[in-house]
Amino acid sequence: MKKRMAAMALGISAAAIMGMSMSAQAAADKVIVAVDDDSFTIGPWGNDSSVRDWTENTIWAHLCYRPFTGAMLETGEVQMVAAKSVTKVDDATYDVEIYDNIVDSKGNQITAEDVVYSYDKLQELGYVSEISLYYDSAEVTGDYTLTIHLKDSSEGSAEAVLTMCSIADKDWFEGADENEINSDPAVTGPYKVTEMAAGSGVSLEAWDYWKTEDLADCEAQNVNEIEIRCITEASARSIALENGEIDMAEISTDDLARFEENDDFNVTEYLNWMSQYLIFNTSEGRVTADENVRKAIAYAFDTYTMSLTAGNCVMSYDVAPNIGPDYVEAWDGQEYFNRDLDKAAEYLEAAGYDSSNPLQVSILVTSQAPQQPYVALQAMLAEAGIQLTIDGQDRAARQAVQNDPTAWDIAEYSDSVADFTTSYWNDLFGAEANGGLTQGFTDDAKLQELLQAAIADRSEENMTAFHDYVIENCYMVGLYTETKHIATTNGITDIALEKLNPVLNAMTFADDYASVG
Amino acid sequence: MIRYVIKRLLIMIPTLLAVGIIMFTLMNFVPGDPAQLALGSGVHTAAEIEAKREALGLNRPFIVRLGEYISNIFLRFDFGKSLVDGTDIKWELMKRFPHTAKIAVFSILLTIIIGLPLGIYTAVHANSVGDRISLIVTLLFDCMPSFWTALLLVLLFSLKLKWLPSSGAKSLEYFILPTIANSLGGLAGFTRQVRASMLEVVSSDYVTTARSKGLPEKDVIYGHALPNALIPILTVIGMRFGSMLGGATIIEVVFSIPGIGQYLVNSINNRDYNACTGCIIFIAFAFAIIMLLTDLLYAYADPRIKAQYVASGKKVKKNG
Repeated sequence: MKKRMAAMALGISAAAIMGMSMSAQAAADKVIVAVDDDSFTIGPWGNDSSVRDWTENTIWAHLCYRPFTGAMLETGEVQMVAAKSVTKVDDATYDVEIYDNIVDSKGNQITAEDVVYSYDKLQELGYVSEISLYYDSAEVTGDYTLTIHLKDSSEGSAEAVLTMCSIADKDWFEGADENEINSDPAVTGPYKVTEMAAGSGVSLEAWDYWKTEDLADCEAQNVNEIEIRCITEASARSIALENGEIDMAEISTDDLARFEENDDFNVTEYLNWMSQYLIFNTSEGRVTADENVRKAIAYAFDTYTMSLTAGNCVMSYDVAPNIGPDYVEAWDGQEYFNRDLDKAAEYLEAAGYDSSNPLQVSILVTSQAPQQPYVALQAMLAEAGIQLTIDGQDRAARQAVQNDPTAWDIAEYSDSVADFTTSYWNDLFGAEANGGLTQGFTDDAKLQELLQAAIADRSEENMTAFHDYVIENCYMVGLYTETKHIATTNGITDIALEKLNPVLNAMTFADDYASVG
Repeated sequence: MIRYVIKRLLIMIPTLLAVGIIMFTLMNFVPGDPAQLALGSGVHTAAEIEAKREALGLNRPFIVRLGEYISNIFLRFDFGKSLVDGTDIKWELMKRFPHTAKIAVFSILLTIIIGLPLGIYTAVHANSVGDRISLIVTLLFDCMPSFWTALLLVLLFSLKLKWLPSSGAKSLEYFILPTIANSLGGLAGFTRQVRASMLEVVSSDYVTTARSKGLPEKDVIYGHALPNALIPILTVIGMRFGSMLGGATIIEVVFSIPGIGQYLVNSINNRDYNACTGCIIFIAFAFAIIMLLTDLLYAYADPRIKAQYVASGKKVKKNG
């Protein structure tokens, strides 16, 4: 009999999943996990990588932990890790008391001074955009107390600051060389590093962690040893799973059926959270500065056809994916830009284009991403008499090109709903977040005013006002959010998803589980 | 001889200097902003990007950055830090080099162990059935792209037979498939090179003389013919080994081996100027050293070349 487990983590509280996982069984011996990235560091602060995404909370303590998207401090959903308590002084000031028994894996005592140092260091390095955007400063008020000041008091900013900075001992970090920081760090989280091979993998081991009570979900020690191997090719990860070399890996949609139909594996499907959208360049001189052109394009294609080659997707029937807790459900019932060639023709005519003078536009895409959705878009627009040129740039070149208002008409982007729909909108349209203009170079005071009002209180009225204004002007078109799949050997019964990443130390193992290693 | 080695080592300095300058200059003009890449994939303000650019020293004039980079490498053997993750490039190269070296050494050994006797056999038995079969098989290997060979090997030995691991670099067992995949294409070329060199030699007068003296065929081939055919063979081995030390990029990617080649590809994709330039200089250095060793091996393979080196040394001494 075929066995399949497919848990869609569509905004489900991971806390419930992990609470179950921690109480269900004794610690497993070992788990071997493959990740798709071979360029990583494991020091307290570093650039994004799969290894860091999957292990940062496992090897580094943060002040707090956010177990699911939208978890808030004031509702008690944010869990304490290094912080014993967090007290709001005012919207932009928080007093924090940390535990007085925090020691790292090399025996160094962690004090408030180390916490302040960690925040300042991360701000200086600039690896985490939320810290750069929201964190202003911190000051030591006692051996184990500090005050954090925020630049931005909008909702979610305090949670972001409190949960996104790894805490390390100042003296250790300043005295350690590069090799030690990245191969034998003095960790503050529940697992220490036992082996680190640059570009190849890292092994972690549960240690005599300084905290034994009131554990946050990310502080579980459900497995004694975690080995992470870097296997960049999706097909190679699938082969390694089938060959009994690893216990768990993210697999591609192409390989999905092989594992779903195999009794020896469990497959978990979950949202990628990176939601795709098209944004129009409205800067002066571009054809897409004309609202009629934007609407002609929006009505000339349907997102479902685009998504067909992208595997299982959750469609965005709106200017934001239905993910954030502040998403207004009523928007799903409203009319969006459904494909309507008659309407597209009307808008084209209004913009002064016809078959003798066809509209020509370009779309900026990342060349490393699958191109089929854009080829489908090109074909649909061609049916409406719009000539689309696909401009594929590699990731690095694209980052330079996308900031040039003279380089493109439409750009494909993806962004995550980190906590609220408003934070997603702020990334797209916030003038401050984008250096004065929006991602589409839109200079619109009313748009900014409505956005700030929506961010300020996230009331349905203000949210809807901004939402309707974006649709009315057709500044962007929401597309879809892809799903991802993680396959595990069938001894792993739950992978404890926290938003985008599994919490490797909080997974659930069957009683008869034995690692392949 | 020592004088020759020193001379060659000194010649390497301007060569490596030129490589460093060319690479740094080229990478500087490739589109893409390292400051944005260093900040990661999130949304960043213009001020953040500018601050990062300042912190990385990218706002300084090109010539200043070039001068600093080159002087750090050649005077302090400091390749700098990765622009993307801040790691020490020398540290990364040192950690990764053993993996690349293992693939290179094993591959070249496999190539020699199989290719040399096969090439000799096909030369000695030219136009025989064995020669023709060898020609066809080696041509076939030559035509197979290494990534395709690698995948076939993985499918057969890992997925079907479950004899060998499909990816990683944890122990010697993990290097068996990469070594075979990396060797097959080169094996074909090498075998044909040995065959061609030997064919030229086996028909020469001194080989005929050796045979006419009644020496056993084995002695004729290995004692007289092979040493005289070695120079072009050594050249091929040296060049191939040198380029392998630069990283068998595709093999490293397919088998997830964290070698120099994989590091180079990542650094190119990330516009990590420092890492990329560091990799290329490292590869150039490895190649130059291997070619020097190859030249020295010429002297041991051919006494006439050794005599030339010695004579050249004496001449210089006399002139001095």
